[in-house]
Amino acid sequence: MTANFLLGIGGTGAKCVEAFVRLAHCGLGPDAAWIGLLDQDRANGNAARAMRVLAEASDLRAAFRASGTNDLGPSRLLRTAIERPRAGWSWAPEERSSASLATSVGYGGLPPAEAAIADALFSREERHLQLDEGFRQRPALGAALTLQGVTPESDVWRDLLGALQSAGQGEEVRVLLVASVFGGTGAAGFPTVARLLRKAIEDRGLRGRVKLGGVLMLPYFAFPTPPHEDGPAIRPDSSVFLMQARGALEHYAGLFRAETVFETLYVLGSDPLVPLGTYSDGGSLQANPPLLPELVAALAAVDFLSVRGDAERGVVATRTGGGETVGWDDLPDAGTRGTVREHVAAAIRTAVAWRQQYAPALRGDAWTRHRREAWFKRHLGRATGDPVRADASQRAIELMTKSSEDLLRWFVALERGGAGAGRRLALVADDLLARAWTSHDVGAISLVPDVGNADFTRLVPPLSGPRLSDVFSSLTYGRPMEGTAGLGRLAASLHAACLGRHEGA
Amino acid sequence: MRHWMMSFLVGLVIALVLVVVAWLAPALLPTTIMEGMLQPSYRMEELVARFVPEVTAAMQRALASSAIAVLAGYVAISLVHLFARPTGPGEAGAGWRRVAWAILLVVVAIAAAVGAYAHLGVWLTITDDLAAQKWAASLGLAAAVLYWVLTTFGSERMMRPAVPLATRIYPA
Repeated sequence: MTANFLLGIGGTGAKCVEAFVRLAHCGLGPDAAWIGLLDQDRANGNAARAMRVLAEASDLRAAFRASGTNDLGPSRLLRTAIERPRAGWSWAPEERSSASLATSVGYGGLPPAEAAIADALFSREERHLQLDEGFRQRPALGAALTLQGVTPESDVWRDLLGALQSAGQGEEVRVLLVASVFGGTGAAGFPTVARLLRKAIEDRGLRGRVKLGGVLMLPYFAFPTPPHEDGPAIRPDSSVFLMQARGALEHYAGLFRAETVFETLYVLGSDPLVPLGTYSDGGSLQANPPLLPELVAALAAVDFLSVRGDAERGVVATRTGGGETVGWDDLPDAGTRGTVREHVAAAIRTAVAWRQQYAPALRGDAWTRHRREAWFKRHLGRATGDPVRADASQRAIELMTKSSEDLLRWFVALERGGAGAGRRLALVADDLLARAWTSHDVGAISLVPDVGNADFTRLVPPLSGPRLSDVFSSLTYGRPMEGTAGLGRLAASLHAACLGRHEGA
Repeated sequence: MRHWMMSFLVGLVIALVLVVVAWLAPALLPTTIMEGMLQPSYRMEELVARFVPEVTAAMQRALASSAIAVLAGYVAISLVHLFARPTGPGEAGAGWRRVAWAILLVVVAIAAAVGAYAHLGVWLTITDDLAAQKWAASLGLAAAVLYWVLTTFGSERMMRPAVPLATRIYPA
């Protein structure tokens, strides 16, 4: 049972969870983490993508961490075991479809006094707003529905508290909530769930064992004005983000003066706001590319859950150097200085080498043409575990390839649009990884089929890494890692070579 | 020391020893071999005593040039990896590397045979042409076999798939 819990609330929470899963793929996460999403708009493209990434990361790790058959052993790649909540990756405060506040609270049957309170707090449009696509930037609606939905009897709560109660086994349990302060679900759910959790922790006498952290996202993006044609009566509008954030922060200031909710609170934002190219009311069309503050939020999660620094640091703030270019040195590091860059670089190089050099040589019966080559004989010839021809190995090859391409597309999308106008990211060499990209769909990014031997060294600036030939030499001459098996043996050596810990030329 | 350099140096030392052995061997060979190379009309006792030392010197140059052809072929195929190291699976054992190995095999064999015939052929007036041809062909064949053996045991791991039979002999 894990001692780390991460709950993303709302669309922004889901995107930050996705960023955390990317970093966990790179080996920056803890050994294990329970990860869930809380979102009224589960069809939302951001949440849907986060759920897909969570499921795929979980499948990939299961495939490459199967003891004795296909095992990465001590390699940090895919280190984090992602535990799926029993109620599923995502829950909604109001699970019924086509529900509204009115149907959820039984507005029609309320006593006159309570109906009058509902009338005073919520407009007619808000009471009857269909919630399938979230709370549309109305945190008051979200708060009411979250309190209504998150009860001791609800699946969400039973799952979370049950896990908390039985977790730890002496190790300090850490729970981290991630949400925005300016949306609907996140703004409503963040303080509501946090206070419910805090109360549950106090009531159960878990204060010494359970530390509660939060990542609060201040406004960091803006989207175009909604089009004038027909649409829902209540529509999101990013021009009010700052005003909403100010009101919310005043609320939090008062709340935190009165009670301790979080042991550590990370507050993030972006000035100027990162402009998004498209508008969406919600639902599947609301799938935004990754943005820099989400990566920073994921680093906060790594700091709280993986590095496990002092859990009672109060409010943590950071900022970039203020220049036009944001590079690795501008990002808060987790653990030793340079660790994040080192592991992200290794994972990106591993992904490139795997998809263009090694997966094609192992897929189907292609491996028979390479079985006499030293790298193959050394890592797969007499390796313990599943042979390459086994169905499980072939499935693992496809999972790793898909996941590698997904990771590369995510970093390319982040690099190209993640910092906003007038500012540029210098985290990965996106021009070496992908062709021009005009759509906002991350999945539409077309990766280049081959990165050259010299270009491979420049994938993660400003440091140069090993060449593809160095990596190949390392696999040819280096000793396989102890404790590895099957394809995991090759993948572990490949990752070690991409970390720069290689032998040979 | 880098792994590829160790195997390269081992092969290089063996090839140099071959050259030395080729240079010294004729002096140790029975003189009947040199006598057998003379034309029948030169096999009178006085002429044998007169011409065998010159045939021995020619034989020395023929053997040495064949060994040098092997050495040059081995060094050339080994240096391929210094300038064009493989970047991934398939590159080490296929394509132009295998073609380069095969071309060098033919070049070494021809160079050894032509070199041997040229050195022995100087003495065509006193040596038997058929004997010179047989020696040249034998040395060409021996050079090809030696080149093959050297590249099998002296090549680095990444080159082995390009050398026929090498990967069947070597473990990873």
